[in-house]
Amino acid sequence: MSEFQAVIGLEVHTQLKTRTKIFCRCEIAPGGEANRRICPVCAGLPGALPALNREAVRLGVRAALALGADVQRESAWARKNYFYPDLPKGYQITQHQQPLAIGGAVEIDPPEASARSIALERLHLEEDAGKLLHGRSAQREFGSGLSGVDLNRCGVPLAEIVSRPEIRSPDEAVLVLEELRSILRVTGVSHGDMEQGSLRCDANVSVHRPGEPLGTRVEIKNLNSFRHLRRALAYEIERQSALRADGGSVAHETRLWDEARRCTRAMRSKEEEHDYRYFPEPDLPTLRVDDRLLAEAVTDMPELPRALRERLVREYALEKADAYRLVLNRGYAAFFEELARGVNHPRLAAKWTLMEVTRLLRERGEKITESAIRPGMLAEVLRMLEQGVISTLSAKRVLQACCDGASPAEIVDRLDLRQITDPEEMEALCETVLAASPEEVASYRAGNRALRAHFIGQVMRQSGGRANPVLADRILARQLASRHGPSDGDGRGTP
Amino acid sequence: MTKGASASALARSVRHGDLSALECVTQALEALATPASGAAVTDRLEDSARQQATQLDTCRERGETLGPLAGVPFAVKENICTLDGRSACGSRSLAGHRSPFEATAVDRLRRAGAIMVAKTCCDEFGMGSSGEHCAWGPTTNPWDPERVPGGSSSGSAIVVARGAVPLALGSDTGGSARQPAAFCGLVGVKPNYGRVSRWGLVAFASSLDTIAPMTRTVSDAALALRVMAGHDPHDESSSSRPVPDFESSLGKGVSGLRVGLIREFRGHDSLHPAIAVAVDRAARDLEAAGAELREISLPVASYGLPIYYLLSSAEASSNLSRYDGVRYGVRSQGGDDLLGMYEKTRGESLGPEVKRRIMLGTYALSAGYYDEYYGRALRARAVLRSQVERQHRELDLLLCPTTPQPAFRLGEKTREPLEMYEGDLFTVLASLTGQPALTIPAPERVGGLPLGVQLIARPFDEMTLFRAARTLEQAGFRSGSLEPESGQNS
Repeated sequence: MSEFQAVIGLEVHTQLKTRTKIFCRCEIAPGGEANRRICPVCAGLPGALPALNREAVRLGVRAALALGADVQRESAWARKNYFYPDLPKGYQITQHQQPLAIGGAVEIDPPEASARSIALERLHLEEDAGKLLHGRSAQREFGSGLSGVDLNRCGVPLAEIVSRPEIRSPDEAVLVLEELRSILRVTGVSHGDMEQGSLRCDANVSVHRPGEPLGTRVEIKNLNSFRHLRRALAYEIERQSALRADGGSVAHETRLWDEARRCTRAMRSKEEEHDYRYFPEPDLPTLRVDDRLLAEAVTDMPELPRALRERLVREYALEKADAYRLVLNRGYAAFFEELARGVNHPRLAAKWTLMEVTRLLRERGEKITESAIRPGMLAEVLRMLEQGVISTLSAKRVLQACCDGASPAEIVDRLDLRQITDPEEMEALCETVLAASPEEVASYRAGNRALRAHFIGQVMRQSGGRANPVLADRILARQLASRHGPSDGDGRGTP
Repeated sequence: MTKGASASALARSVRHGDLSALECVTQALEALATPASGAAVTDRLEDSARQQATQLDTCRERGETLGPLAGVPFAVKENICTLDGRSACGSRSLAGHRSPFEATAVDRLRRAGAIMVAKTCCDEFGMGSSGEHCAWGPTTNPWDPERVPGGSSSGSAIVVARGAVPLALGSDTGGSARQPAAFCGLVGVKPNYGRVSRWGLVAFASSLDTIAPMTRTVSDAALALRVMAGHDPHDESSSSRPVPDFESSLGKGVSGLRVGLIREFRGHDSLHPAIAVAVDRAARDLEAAGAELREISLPVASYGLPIYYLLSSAEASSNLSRYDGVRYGVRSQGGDDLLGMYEKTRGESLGPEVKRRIMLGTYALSAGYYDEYYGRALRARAVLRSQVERQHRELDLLLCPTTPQPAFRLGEKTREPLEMYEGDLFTVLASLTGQPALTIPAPERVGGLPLGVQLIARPFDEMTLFRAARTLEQAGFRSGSLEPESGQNS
C-alpha cells in the first residue's frame, strides 16, 4: 500500500474477573435491571469513600506477570476529572504517573509471517464508568422519550494495557489483540469477550515514509470486534496515506469507527481534548504489592500461549498453523491434548479438532468445554479410522451420532458402518457397480480415465460409505482392465 | 436541669438512673427549639431522638449495660451523613438530601448510647470561616449577635455554646471546627488525620478533612474522640493504630513536657493583643505546672495559607464535580443540552464561595499550571511537614493562637475573601501536617468575646494534647457561661 508505512499502538481495556467491584462490594453480573447493583460508593453519593478490592489487584498483577511486565512494588491512584452522566463522581479513579506495571511484551508468531515481539508501555488498574441508555433499552427502564443512566457497570475493575507504537499493519494489530486476549483468558484474568465488552480496544495510528519521523497520530475509538479493528485501521491508514500523498496533513484528533458506514469520523480535535486534571487520589493510600500478593498472583500460572504453541509443534509434530489455531481458544488446545493421548496420529487429531469438532460445535451451538463431544469419544472414532474399521466418511457420521450419548462402537454396529475390507465382498460390490454402468465402462475403456473416481464414488454409495476406498480402487482398476469384466453382460457379477 | 451539663455527667446520671434518657433528650430538643439555637439547626430530630431515648431507658430498666455516652444528646453538622435528618451540607445543590447510610463516627457515638437530636448548619460544603456562606442564611455568635459564630462548623458551635447539647460534631479541614470553637468559647479538637473515619463526611478536601468533636469541657472531647476513633474498613485513610483511653490519663499533668511557642505566630502582625496575652498566659500556666517552655522559629509556617488554599481548592474542585444534577440533589430546568444542564444546575445551586474555590482549584490543576501551583503546593506541604517533624524531635507540643482575631462582624469580610482566608493562618498548619490540634477558650474575653488558644501535638498523640488542655482548663481556661438567651435571635 503506497510509500507510507503505518505505525500502530493499541490501548486495551480488559474487565478483571472479580466477583465484586473494585472499590465497593457490589456484585458484578451482566445484564439485569438498570441501577440494581449499585451502592453509595459506586453511585458516587456524598460522603462515600472507595475501599480497594484486593482481588482486582491480584488479577492485575497476574496479567502483568503473564505479559512479562515489571510489577511495581508501589503504585499510585489518581483521579481523572471530567463531566459525563455515566461518571457519577465526576472523576474516574485510575492510575496515571505510577502504574501497577511497566513494560512487558506481546509476542506474536503467526504461521504465515515471522515472529515479532510488540513491547508494552504499561498496565494499570482503573474503575469502569456506567452506561447511557437511549431508545428502546432506555424506554424499558425509564419510560418513553427519555435517555437514562445505568450505573451497574460503575466500578467494575479494568486493567488498561497500552502497547508501544510498534505494530505495522492491521493484520498484526489483530494478531496482537488475539494473543493478548488469549493470555488474559488462559490466566483467568478476564473473560476477554469483545461482544460482552469485557475486552475493549482503542488504537493509535499514524503513517510516515520509512526513514522519516513519525507522522501525526490519530486515536480511533469504538473498535468493538476484531473485524472492526482490522477494518478501521485499514481505512484510517488509507485515509492518512491519501491525505499525505496529496500533500495534505493529518490532524491530531480522536476519531470514531462507524461500522455502518465503514469509515472513521472525527470525534474531537486536539483543542477539544479534555484536560483531565489528573492528581493523586487522596482517598486511597499508595498501592503496595507485597510478596504474599505476588505469590498469590503466580499461583497455578498456566502455560502461556506461546509456550504452548511451541510445545504442540515440538511434541506432536503439528503444523505451526494448526498449533496456532488450537491455542487461540484454550479449550481447543486442551481438547486436542487429551485427544492426542489416545491416538497414533496427532496431526490427524489436530485437523479433526479444528475441522469436524468446530463444525459440530457450531451446529450445536455449544462451547468446547461444555460440549457432549468428548476427546475420548473422538479418540475412539479416530482409532477405528486409523485401523481401517471405518472410513473417513463413516467416522464423521459416527462422531455426529455419538454427540447424543452412545459410544462410537455401538453406533458403528447399529448403523452397520464397519468398513468393507474383505476382498471377496469388495470384488462382488465392484462388479455390481460396473455391471450397472455399461456405458461408463465402455467410455473408460475408450480412454476416459477420469471416470475411475466416478466408479469409486458409486462403490462408496452402494456400500453406504463402508467401502474402503483404497481397496475399492485397486479392485476396480483390476476389473476394468480385465477382459472378462462385467461389461460382457453375462450377469456373472450379479449377487 | 440538664442544660449546660457535661456529656460525661449526663451519661453518669443516666447510667445510674438519676435521669432518664428521655428527659435528657426532651430538654435538649426544647433548648434547640428556642429561636437563638433554632437558627443553627437545619433539622430537629424530635421523633427519632425520643424513640431512641425511650429504647435506651427500656434497656436500662432491663438492667442492660449502657454505653459511655448513654442518653447524651448530640448535634451533627449537616455535611456529615446520618440516617435520620437531612444531610444537605449547607448547599442548595443538596437541598433536602437524605443519606441512605450513616457516618461511622455518628454510628459509633450512637452505639455508645449518644442520641442525635439535630443536624446543624454550616458554610456550604465546609467552605468558609464565618457561617455566612450557608445556603440557608447566616447565623450569629451567641456572645454577640452582630458577630459571626465562625465557620464552617457554625451551627454545631452555636448549639454547644448555648448549652443545648454538650457535644456536637463539626468537621475541620483547615480550622472549620477549631475556629468557630474559639469564636464561641468552646473546646474543639481536630483529631489526627485518619484517627476518625471519614466515611459519611461529605468530602471537601479529602487529604485534610477530619471529623471534630466540639464540647464545653476537655474530658467530653476526649470521651467523644475515644468513642469515634479507630480503623474503619470503609475509609482506607483511617488509621489502625490503637486508640488509647484518653480520659483515664487526663489528669496526668504536663510535668516534663516540652512545649514550643511558635514565634512567627505569637508575634504575627495581625494578632489581637488580647489573644497574644492569652497565649502567654497559657505558656506561663503550663510552665507553672511543670512543662518546659521554649520559643521556636518555624518560618515555613507562614506559607501554610497558600499551600492550604491551593491544595484544598484543587481537591474540592474534584470532590464537588458530582453535584451535577444527574443523579440526586437539585437539577435546574431549561438547559438546552447536556452541557447547558450542567452549567445551569451548577450555576444556580452552588454558592459564590464554593464556585470561587472550584475555579481556583480547577486552575491549579490545569495542564500547564499544575507544576506551578498544585505540584508546588504538594512539595511545599512535604517541606512543611518535615520541618514541623524536626521540631517535634525535641518538643511534645506546640502552642499558638487559634485565630488572629476574635469573632468579626457579620459582613465584615464577605467582600474580601482573602481577608477571610487570612484568619485561617494558625489553624491550617496542623491540617497540612495531619497532626492533632485543639483549641481551648482563654479565661479572659475581649469585648465580651471568647478567645482561643491552640495546642498542637505529635502525630496521633491526642493524649498529650488532652493532658495539656486539662491542665489549662484547671488553671481557668474555660469560657464563662452564657446568660440564658443572651445575645439575640438571628
